[in-house]
This record gives sequence, structure tokens and C-alpha cells, in this order.
Amino acid sequence: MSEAAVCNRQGSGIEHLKHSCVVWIAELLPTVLGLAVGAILTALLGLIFGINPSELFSVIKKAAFGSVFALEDTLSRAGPLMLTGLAVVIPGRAGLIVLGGEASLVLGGLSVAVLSLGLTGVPPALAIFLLLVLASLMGAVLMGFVGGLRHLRGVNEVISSLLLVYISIALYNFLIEGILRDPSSKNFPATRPIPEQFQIGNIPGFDANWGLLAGFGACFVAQFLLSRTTYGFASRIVGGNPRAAQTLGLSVGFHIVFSCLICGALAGLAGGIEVLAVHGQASGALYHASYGFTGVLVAFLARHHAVGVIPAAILIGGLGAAGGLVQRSFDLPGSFMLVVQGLVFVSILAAETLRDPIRAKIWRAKP
Amino acid sequence: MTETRKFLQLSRRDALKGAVFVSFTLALSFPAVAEGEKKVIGFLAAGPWNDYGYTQSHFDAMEELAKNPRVKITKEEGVAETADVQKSIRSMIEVDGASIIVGTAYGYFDPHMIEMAKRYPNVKFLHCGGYWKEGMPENLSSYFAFSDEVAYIAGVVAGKMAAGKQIGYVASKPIAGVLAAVNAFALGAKSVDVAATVDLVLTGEWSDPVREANAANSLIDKGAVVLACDVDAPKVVIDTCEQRGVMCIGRHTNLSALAPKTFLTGTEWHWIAVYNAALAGKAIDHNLRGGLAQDMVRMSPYGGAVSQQAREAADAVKADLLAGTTNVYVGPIKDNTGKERIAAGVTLPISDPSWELVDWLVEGIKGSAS
Repeated sequence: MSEAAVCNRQGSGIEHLKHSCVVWIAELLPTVLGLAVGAILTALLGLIFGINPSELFSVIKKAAFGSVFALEDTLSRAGPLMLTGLAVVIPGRAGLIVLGGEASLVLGGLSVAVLSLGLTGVPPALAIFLLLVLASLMGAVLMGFVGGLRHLRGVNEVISSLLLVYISIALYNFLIEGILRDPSSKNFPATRPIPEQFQIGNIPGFDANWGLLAGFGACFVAQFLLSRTTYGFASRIVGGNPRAAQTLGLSVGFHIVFSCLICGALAGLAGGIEVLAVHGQASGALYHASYGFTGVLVAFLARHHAVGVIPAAILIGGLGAAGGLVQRSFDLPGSFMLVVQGLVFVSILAAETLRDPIRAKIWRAKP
Repeated sequence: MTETRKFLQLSRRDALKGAVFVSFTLALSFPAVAEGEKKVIGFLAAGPWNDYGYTQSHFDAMEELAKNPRVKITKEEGVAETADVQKSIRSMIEVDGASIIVGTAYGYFDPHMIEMAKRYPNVKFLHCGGYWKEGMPENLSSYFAFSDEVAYIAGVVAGKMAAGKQIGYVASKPIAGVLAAVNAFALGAKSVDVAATVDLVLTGEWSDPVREANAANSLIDKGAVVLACDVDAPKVVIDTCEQRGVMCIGRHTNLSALAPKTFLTGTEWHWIAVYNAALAGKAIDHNLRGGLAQDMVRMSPYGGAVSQQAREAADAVKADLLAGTTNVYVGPIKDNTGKERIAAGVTLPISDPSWELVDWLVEGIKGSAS
């Protein structure tokens, strides 16, 4: 090998590295831009209320990440959001927009609250495991309907899953205010409290329940599933072009239904954990947090990237955690941080449209 | 001028100067002292403070409380009935130094406020609407007001003004507090018009403006001439009534400004009585309850539409209720399925614990309790 050839190879190696760096930056650029625009809009919104933007951001930072207490707050909100976010990401990869995680969350939680009462003799660890499996199954069955309708009858999954949320919440209220109601839950209709031994505790030394680890774990497992298995690869093809997938001999129906099942299972699991770790019963409180819907925001923020769900959930959890202190420090309406969330969401979606032009530029510049 | 007089003059001036000086220092030092011992009270609500309804009633009391120089208020609205409650409470205690925490949504009580009361034994916790049971933390109290009496008086006004025509009622959830109020309202209406009926629609949600507007409109279309409501934010119902020229009865706070033409009266909460007691460090019952006599509920001032006859009837009933010469629940009372609930000759006081579990509707209410 001549010296020149070696130099040439090294040169191309560096070139290659440079190129992959550029690709990475280009991939992240729209999200970063979106966040920046969201921050600018937030600052402007603050100015409308007569608040110094730097003070506003320092309070947000302090309340979301400024102390152990703030971190605990942020992460305990992020936990369920990771699960409900993933519940949107996985069908998203197969080309489906399923907005119905809330339905699975609510009815998954309800089934846990009810069946826990019948498991009093079972060892707690086993019972908690069984209950969470049950919550997942319940959630999966619900979203399975959405997938089935989509595949067999061509019903739009966005609409059907969204409508299923309304039906589920109505059914949930009907049950907790009716036959499943604990007669002693006077002005706050709820099911009977779960047996105390089934309560999921906090991570020792950290004021957030074990559901947080379930969230992290699920994100990594999903990442592996989507990027390192034939399932994930096939699912992406189905999402990219269902007809091409069919021509290739992939079972499009399987991927549509299965991804909906996983979606429902994840959201149902989130509901089960919420009931066992936080509420201790099924009540209206379960859907007041709207984790199912906020999960949609998280998934789009993460650009349907399983591990990306983690920072996205932490960001949204942090904004949620900051809501209280921002409200109290500046005497703002409670909806202020919701508006901020909306601004960030819209900015990120808008910035997303830059992705294709940027990609096209990069591909043209390929060495 | 003698030495003595000179001395006296000087001393007089000095005395004046001194007095001014002392009063200034006192005036300056008092707020300073007060500043040092300001009590921080944290308020949490599920709805927005300016909802013209339940949350507003707490906000109004809070504003009243804020006039006290010894009080600093820290408040948060839109706190969901989830673990968020605990986070906000902790932040209020640890960041703002709150020593009294007031939670105003039902779902805050169990488990969130119980949990926090255990964690912060030196902080006083007050919850609106919960029910304290033996074994719960000592520093936790529940308070609520009986609106049966004021609802009864409002019923008297409605019965008089409807003059035999239909009365409508838009309510939120079929829970005891709501059902007791509609029962008392119907009993009030029936006390002045035996044949009076109340058409009840439950929306199923504490606050659902669309369903509330639909319910109000359909009740009016069916011929209701007076509408009462019991939802978290009654503005929608009251606005609808004003637009359609139907008489209306408010709830939670004084809503007369929303419907200058059609507003009759309303039932208001008056929470300041509770908060002042807590502020004074008085021992508060674990289950503090009160009604008209305790000044925990009030009637809204009569609107221009109320006839003299209705005013007189309502004022008389109010005086009798306060004097104890009449009661809201006097047997015989049947429910709307015909079953006798209170036997003839029996009077059940509004403070009877069974009212906190009421799940039936009195005769004359068209609707179902579930």
C-alpha cells in the first residue's frame, strides 16, 4: 500500500466521521430550533404579563431541576409520561396515530383497583405483578379494538381511539359512581381502597415511585425492539409504506394490531401503576392528570424515538413541576404553564417541517 | 419670662416632639413586628380562581383574609387531584414557609392531604368537604357548610316566582352534597306551592360548560321559568338564563352582576368564618360543619325581579330557620319513587350525619339520583 493510499484512506475516514457528525447535528437541529423558538415565545408571553424573562426562566429551572425536591417532582411526573409517550411512539412507527392511551390508562387502572380486592391472600409481590399484567391486558384489549377496526374495516385509528377515550371515561365514571363505588367515599366517588400491602412504594431515598424505573426500562426495551429486531424493522417498513410492506410479504395487519396492543398495554400499565402507587383507589383523579393525552405531546417531542421519550418526558414533567412555583412567584393564572407547553409543542412541530429540506441538503453533500 | 416658665415651655415642646417621635416609631415598628410573624397560608384549588363559582367562593374568602396584615397568601389553581397535590403542598411549605394549608377540591383529601399532614405534623391542614375519621392525623381538619337552609330559602323564592310553572335545576354529580341541596331546594319550593315540581338534569361532571348550556336550554325549552343550578362554575347557566329572559338562582358566590335582569337570589358559601378561626389558632373540630347560624353560608341579595311577596316569604322563612322555629326536613317526606324517607312527626336536623350519605330525591323532583 502506498503512502498516498494510506493518507487517502485516513482522509476519507475523517471525512466519514465529519459526515456522520453533520448528519447527527442535522437530525437534532429542528428539535433544538423548535425548543429555541418555544423559549422565545415563552419569554414574549412572560413580557406580556410584565415578567422579566430571565427571572421567569430561572424560576422554571429552579422549580423543575433546581433541587433534589424539584428533581423528584419532575421525575415522578415524567414516569407515567414515559409509558404513555411510548404508547404513542410504538404505533407511530407502524404509521398509526393512536391518541387513545387515556382510555387504556383509565380502564387499566380501574381493573387493578377492583381486582386487587380479590387478591388479598396472595403474596404482595406476586399480586402486584399479576395486577400490573392485568392492567396491561385490559389496556391492550381496548386498543386492540382500535387496531382491529383499522385493519379489518379501515376505521381511522385517530378518530376511533379518541372516541374510545370518551366512552371509557363515561363508563369509568358510571362504574365508580355506581356499582363499584365505596359507600364511604362520600363526596368523592371512588372504588374501595386497595389493600395496603399492594401499595407500590417509593424508590428508597428518592421521592418517586417505582413506576419511574418501569418508564425508563420500557423506553430502553422499546428502543431495542424498534431498532435491533426484525419486528422493529418490519414495523418501520409498514409505517413507511404499507403497500410496499405487503408486496415484501410482511403481514401489515399483524403489525397494525400488534402495535396497538403494545400501545394499550403500556398505557394500561401506566394506569395500573398510578392506582397502586399514587391513588390507592380508582377515582376521577385518575383521568384528571391527563397523562394519556400528554403522552401524545411527549411522543411528538421525542420525534417518535423510544429513548428520546425519556428527555421529552422529563422536559414536560419539568414544565409541569414548575407550574406551581411559576404561578405562585408571579401571581399568574394556573394555565400559564399549559400555554407554555402548547407553545413548545407547536414550535417543535413547525420546526419539524425543516427536517426534509435539511436532510436533502445533507444527502446531496454526501462524500 | 422666669426660668421655670422657660423650662416648662421647653419641656412642653420636648414632650410634643417626644410624643410625635414615639408615635412615629410605634407606627413604623408595628408593621415591622407584624412582618416578622406573618402567617403564610397556602391555598390549592382544582379550578381557576375566577370561575364565578365554587373556587371563586374560596378566592373571595382568601382576598378577605389577605387584608389582614399578619397574613401572606400563597395560592395555586388548577392543581389536579393527583400526586400533584402533594408536590404543591410540599413546595408551599418548604419554599414559601406555609404554616396553614387549605385544600378545596374533594379529591385532595384522601390520600394526599392525609399523607402530607403525617409528614408535616407542625403544619395545620384544612380540607373543604372531606370527612375526618379516627386515626387520621390530628393536624388535619375537614370543614364544610350545610347549604340545605339557604337552598330551602332559594326554593321558597323560586316557588313563589314560578307561580305554579316549571322550575329547572342543572346539577353536576349525583353525590350527597349536591343531592341534599336540590332536595332542600325542592322542599322550599313545595313549602309555598304544594304542587311545585323541579326538573333535575345531572351533567355528570363538576364542570362541563357544553353540557350545562345544553341542559339549561333544554329545560327552558321544556317550559322552565326559573332555573337553579349546582355546578362548579354556574356562569354558563346564569348567562343562558339572562339571554333567554328566564329567572335564575345563583350558587357558590354572588352572581347578581351576571344577570341584572333575571337574577333572583342565590346561595353563597362564606368560608372566611373558617379561615379566621384557623388563623386565630383556635382549635378547629376535625369535622367542622355549620350553616346559616354559624354564618358559613349566606343568601345573595335579591335581584330586581323578585316580587315583594316572594321577598317577604323568604325573609320570614330565613328568620324562622335562624330562630329554630322551622326546619328544612320535617316529616313526612317521601322520595320521588313514593317511598317514605322521613316519617310524619319526625324532624331530621340538617346536621344529621345521614345527610352526608343521601342518595335519593324528594317527591316533586323529576329526575334520578344516579
